[in-house]
Amino acid sequence: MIIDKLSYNSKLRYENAEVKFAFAVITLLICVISRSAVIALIVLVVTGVLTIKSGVPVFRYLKFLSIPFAFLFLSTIAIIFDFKPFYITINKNVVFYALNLILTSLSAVSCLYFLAFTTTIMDILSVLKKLHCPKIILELMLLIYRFIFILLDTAYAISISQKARLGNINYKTSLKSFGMLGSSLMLKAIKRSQNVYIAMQARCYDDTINVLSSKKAKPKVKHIIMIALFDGFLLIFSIWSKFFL
Amino acid sequence: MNTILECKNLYFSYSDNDNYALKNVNLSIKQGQKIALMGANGSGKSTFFLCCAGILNPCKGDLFFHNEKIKYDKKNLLNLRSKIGIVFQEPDNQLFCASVYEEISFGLLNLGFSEEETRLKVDNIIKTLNIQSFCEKPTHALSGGQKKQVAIADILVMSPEIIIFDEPAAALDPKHIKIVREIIDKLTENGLTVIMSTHDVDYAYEWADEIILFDNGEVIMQAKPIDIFTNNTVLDKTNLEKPTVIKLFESINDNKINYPKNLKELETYIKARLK
Ligand SMILES: Nc1ncnc2c1ncn2[C@@H]1O[C@H](COP(=O)(O)OP(=O)(O)OP(=O)(O)O)[C@@H](O)[C@H]1O
Ligand SMILES: [Mg+2]
Repeated sequence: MIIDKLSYNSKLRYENAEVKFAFAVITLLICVISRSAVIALIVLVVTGVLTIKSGVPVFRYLKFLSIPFAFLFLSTIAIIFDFKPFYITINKNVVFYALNLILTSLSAVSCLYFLAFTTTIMDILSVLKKLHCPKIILELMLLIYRFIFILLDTAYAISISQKARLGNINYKTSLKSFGMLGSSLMLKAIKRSQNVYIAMQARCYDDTINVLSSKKAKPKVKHIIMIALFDGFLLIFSIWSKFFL
Repeated sequence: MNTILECKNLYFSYSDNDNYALKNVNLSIKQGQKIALMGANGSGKSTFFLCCAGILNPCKGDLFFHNEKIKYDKKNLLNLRSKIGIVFQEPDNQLFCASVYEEISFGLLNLGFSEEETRLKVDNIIKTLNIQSFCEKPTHALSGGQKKQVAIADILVMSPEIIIFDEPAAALDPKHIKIVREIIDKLTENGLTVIMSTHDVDYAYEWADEIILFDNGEVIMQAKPIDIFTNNTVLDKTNLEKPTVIKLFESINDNKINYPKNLKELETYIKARLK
């Protein structure tokens, strides 16, 4: 999982998680609410530069952005073209509208990418906990995050051992192997969950998962001021452009 | 020394029939002892450990902790589990948190420690076990040996009276085996009771105060290492080899008394004979 690796090697990893979270979420909200192409462009550039500076290779970042872009592009085609009987028409306003939509969505995604690439899951979880997100959701996220990797490892090991015994010699066998991989993964997951539950019980588990994450850096005043200035500027600009442009 | 853990006529079965994984287990373990459990794969060692922590409820028989019969209600069980810690064979089954720090804090918070106390203890154990270098990493990015060390830290931090190691050397390289053994030695020096299952006869011979031999769910012998490893009938029955020290000593010495305890003693003995 490349996002995970990038996040814990990020240069911004040890910065205060709440500040990063606030920055990403507030900027995202301004972007989405203002629906202005200019703001979207500014946000796209700023979060992009920040993310790349924090240690994500440019090419990789663009590749990550291209995933939602492809999706957005395909879905906006349906908006741009108007299918009438015997004609296909394009309206200039609609094209601008579609462009605006693509830009806004991309900038929103880039805000979230900034968070995902610089903040580890455990930090995000601790922020969500402070925001009083329901406990059951946090516990589920924690367990899922941990066991995705174990299941991936197991699936990888099984598929290797299948290949070693010519489990993919032709199309039919490889289909069958894939089915068997699925079923044995299921069984292993159940077995694993039982074992984990046993181990948790052995450590006095009593129906709620309580954990502490390591002490995090204090928020830096400099960063808070910079974020406040940036988001304040975006907000004022978006209000101004709504009413006076 | 006081008896800390005792089993009387313990039976356990995973299914409802008479297919027992533990059959009529009788044994007692004294405080501060180093106990090695040995026996073939599937002979019931791990099952026995789970019974000790009250996770598996025996079909018949009783377990005593500090001479008190274990009761299987929630409060007593939580109390028992705070006193008996198990380091599981497979660390991936034990570690469920995203980060090492969270993982270690889990047991402490369950014991009801406050946040400050927990932080203090977690930081302490990270320092004592010398695992600072990877304590900021997510759990899934650790190597097998590192996971094992975290699994040990998990249990140690709860400061139990008995620590159970289920095959601590499984899947570790020599360097990590050494690290784990040094940790165990430190524990026993501090007077903790350590129970360990192992297949390593050399280590069991040198390390243990007593060895308990399991065969097909039954305890066939509980004795000093020297008595176990010079008893050919039980060794044959459980497919155990003799430790190298004993093998070598027996091959150069006909009267089988005064066995050396370890390689060092054997060396002195050989040097004395060569003179
Ligand atoms: N969850 C389970 N369900 C059913 N049977 C089990 C379960 N776990 C173990 N057994 C059976 O109980 C018996 C004892 O197993 P146990 O795991 O205690 O052996 P062990 O001595 O720890 O072996 P090893 O050296 O391989 O770890 C075995 O016959 C095993 O097949
Ligand atoms: Mg076992």
